[in-house]
Amino acid sequence: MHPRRRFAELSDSLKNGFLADEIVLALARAENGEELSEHDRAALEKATAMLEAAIKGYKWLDDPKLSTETRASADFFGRAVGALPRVYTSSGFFQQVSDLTQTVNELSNGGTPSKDKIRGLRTFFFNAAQSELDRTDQLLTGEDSTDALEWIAID
Amino acid sequence: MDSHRLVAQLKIESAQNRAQALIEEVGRIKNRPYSSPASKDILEFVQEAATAIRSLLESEKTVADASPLMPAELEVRLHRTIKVIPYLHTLIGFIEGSEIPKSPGQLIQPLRRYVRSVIMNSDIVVSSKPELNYSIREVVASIRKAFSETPPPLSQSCAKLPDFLFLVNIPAIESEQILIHAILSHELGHALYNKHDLEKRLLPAIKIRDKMIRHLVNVITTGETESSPMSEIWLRQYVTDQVTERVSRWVTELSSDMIGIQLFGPALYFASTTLLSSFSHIDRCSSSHPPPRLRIKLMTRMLKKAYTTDKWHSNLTELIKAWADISGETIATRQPMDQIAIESLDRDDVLDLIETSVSDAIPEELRYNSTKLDADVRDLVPLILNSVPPGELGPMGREKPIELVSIINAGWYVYLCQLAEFGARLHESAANSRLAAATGLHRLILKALEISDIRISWEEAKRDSERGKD
Repeated sequence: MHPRRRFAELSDSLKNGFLADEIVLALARAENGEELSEHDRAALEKATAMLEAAIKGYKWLDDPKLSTETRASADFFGRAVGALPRVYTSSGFFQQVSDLTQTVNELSNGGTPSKDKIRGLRTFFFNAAQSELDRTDQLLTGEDSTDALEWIAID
Repeated sequence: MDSHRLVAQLKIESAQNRAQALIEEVGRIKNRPYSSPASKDILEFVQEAATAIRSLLESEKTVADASPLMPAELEVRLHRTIKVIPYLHTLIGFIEGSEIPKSPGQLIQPLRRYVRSVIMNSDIVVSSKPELNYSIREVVASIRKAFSETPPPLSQSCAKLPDFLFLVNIPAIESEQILIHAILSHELGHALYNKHDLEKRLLPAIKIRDKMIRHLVNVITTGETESSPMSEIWLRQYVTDQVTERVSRWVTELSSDMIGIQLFGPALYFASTTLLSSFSHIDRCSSSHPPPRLRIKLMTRMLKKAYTTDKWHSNLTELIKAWADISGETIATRQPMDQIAIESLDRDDVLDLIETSVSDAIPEELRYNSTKLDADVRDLVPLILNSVPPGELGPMGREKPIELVSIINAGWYVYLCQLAEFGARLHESAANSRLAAATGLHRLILKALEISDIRISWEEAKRDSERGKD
């Protein structure tokens, strides 16, 4: 990987990880029955946006058109697949992510979804947070490097 | 306190010590003489961010004590914050080699001035490293992004950074090869591409090759994967990621090449083809970078449109014809994802669109053009051939500084067309060696940049003095 790209990806990974951690904390508070702060609600709104983007990314291949949002959607889709390790089919993925979106929407709007549903959502974002930490580690240690010593003609 | 909470407290304290060590190390190395002022900006940022990390970790003690997080969640959360410390170490590593004895000081100020003329509030750091690697990267956008989801002490530590900071790494052994620095214009292309939101205009106009995508969708949905162990959803995700990443990143690279040609003219073309031909397989591509053959094809196309290349010196005409022939051949790819990206982008309508879109992003006064090139060949090349550094031009007492882009283009012209003639006028020890002549040429160009910069600084000081500024 080009060093410049590695640094950009490392920065992305840190950002994604920090956000996932904040979402997990907000969901832990919700599951615990605590009142959510403005900061928690903002984190949950971002969680909704991430899940909606994951669905867009999932559908992209059926109508492959590009826009400025395409890369972000594809990225969220990838992270969602990683956070659902026991889902193997498209239909299963779509159903799961739709259910999670419904739960996070309910929470954001002041509703009280069941503890099981909140736990499912929390697990999803915890898995995402953990994968992101692994990714950060790999990028920091250069473990995924394939061409680190290559002359970079034009970066 | 339970064991998990206790260990969490220990982790926090240990990380705080590491942050403190970082703060002290920066205090120690900050006073070294750096050739690029921005090296100190980076160090000050690291110091401020490490201080912010220390206080952020302090507040995590409350999270560890009182939050409803499970031990595994707390562990991940703490390690995230701790990872910022090696991230800051990486930044310190970036500026190593930018100290005055190691980095070519004459180069910094002219490059810095040029970069700022293209993008205000930007800066550069030039470091020479003991490795055969030439790279340029912009880091501030990434740093701001990394901390965008963190609490204020950390996110605010980015406030003093310039809008853009380009880190130029050059191999220590070849640090005087000044002509190669034309590729800085490609990197400026990345910044201009983002600044002018060219993606918004370009991406929707690109049609992904339907036939291959349809085939892949069919393979995925019907499970015809030749006993692949991959799950259907994984395969779908993989294809989506690979195709979208390639197409969008390749468009950025191709556009940045185009911007580079607009800014630096033939100098970027020659620098790129020199580096690409020396170190890259012509059809080798990655998810982030298109094959050199496609890049050269687009650059050659643009050069031929903007310049009367068929009337150039025969050495250049021959070189450009060779690249045009080779880049016109079919690109041999090994992966279907690469093939989809190539077939989606290697089309006249897409290449035309890239050309016109990037042209709109560059102010007229920053563009290098055929008229400027003709003047540079006419006025500067004879000076170089007579071993006079072409840093200023004009009647005695009213000399004007020569622009960096002009100096580098004139240098390339001599390098490619009249190096033997240049070398013949050097000391006899250099006269018969192409390498020695090239070294002499690079030194002369470097001196020209230095003279030009002194002249610009002098003019600026004179203007300030006339305006009564101190």
